[in-house]
Amino acid sequence: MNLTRDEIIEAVNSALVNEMELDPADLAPEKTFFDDLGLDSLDMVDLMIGLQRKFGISLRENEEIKQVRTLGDVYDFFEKNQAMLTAQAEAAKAAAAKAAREDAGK
Amino acid sequence: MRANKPESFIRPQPNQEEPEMFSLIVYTHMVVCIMLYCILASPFFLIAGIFCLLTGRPFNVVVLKFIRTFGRCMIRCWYSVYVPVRLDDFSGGADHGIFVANHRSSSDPFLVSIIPAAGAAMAAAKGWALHMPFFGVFARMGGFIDVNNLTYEEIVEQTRRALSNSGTIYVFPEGTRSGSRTMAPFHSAFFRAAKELGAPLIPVAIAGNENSPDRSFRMRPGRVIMRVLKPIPQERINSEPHFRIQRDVHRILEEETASLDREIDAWKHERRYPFFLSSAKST
Repeated sequence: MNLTRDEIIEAVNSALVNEMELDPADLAPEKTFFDDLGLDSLDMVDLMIGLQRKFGISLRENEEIKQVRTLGDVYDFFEKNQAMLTAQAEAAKAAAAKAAREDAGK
Repeated sequence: MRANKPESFIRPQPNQEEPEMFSLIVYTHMVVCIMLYCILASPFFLIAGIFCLLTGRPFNVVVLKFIRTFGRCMIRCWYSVYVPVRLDDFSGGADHGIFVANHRSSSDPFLVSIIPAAGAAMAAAKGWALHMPFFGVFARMGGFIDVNNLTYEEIVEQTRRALSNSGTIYVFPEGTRSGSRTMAPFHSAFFRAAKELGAPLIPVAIAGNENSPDRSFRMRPGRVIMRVLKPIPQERINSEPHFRIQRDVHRILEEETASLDREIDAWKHERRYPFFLSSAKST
């Protein structure tokens, strides 16, 4: 996983459009989640679960993601943490492959 | 004596600060009403408490009934003396479920108590409201849902229990008073809970009380219209995602309060003041 900023924006925005039915025209980096987009903390959890699935990563223990206020913060988060997230995604893939091999061995 | 007072005291203009004296009179009246209610209701409260103790009936339902009667008495004997309240019931007889209201002023929790709903009504309140002196004790005894300090799962469980015990919950999903005619976005917890529990959702539009009292608790005379709207169809709640219902209720309340505001604005040309503040005819 090595995404450009545009790809990250595309992925996050499509999650918001598909899972929350937000209008794509409303999705600008400066928009705040609660005041502008009407998404509260429970909606954010739903969104993060969707993004976890999409990127194949775990954000559960991440403190930084809890501080996001605007859509731009989410883009920045994924861009800044690419290396960490890539490593996490690869580790998860490797673990899944190992488990599959073990299952096949049985 | 009244004739010698400055005109601004007798008849405040719409864009002018209302006299502090008005708030003083209103709140003195409120304290007297609270004291009277406590004196009159306490023997019944004690009897009901003993009855619950002996029969094992849930005491919190009794407390909720007393809270609701308190709210009704305060509206009838205190608030509507200064701010006439009109209730339009377009709900078609819906009298149980989650009543979702917009939140402009601290008078809203009193106002919703006059809605003709079934059983003993419960409210969802912020943590600080449950720790207020005096009132907080009764809110905790009644089992008000503390939306600040509970997890979502606990809110759903308490909502389920409340609906089966008392039949009705009032919620203000904006989370805080707007103090104006604007409406903040909604928090989603009770829309999710309604979907999970299959509970009816009934929107309630409240308009006219944004300055009665305002965010600094200064009272101004005015007029309030509260309109209980048609429930959201149950099949929509069950089949559609919560956020669609949530946005729809937000839109419905925004449109309805805007229409009520227009009605109130038309009425403001004939503002009435209590007899002891104005002897002149309305303009």
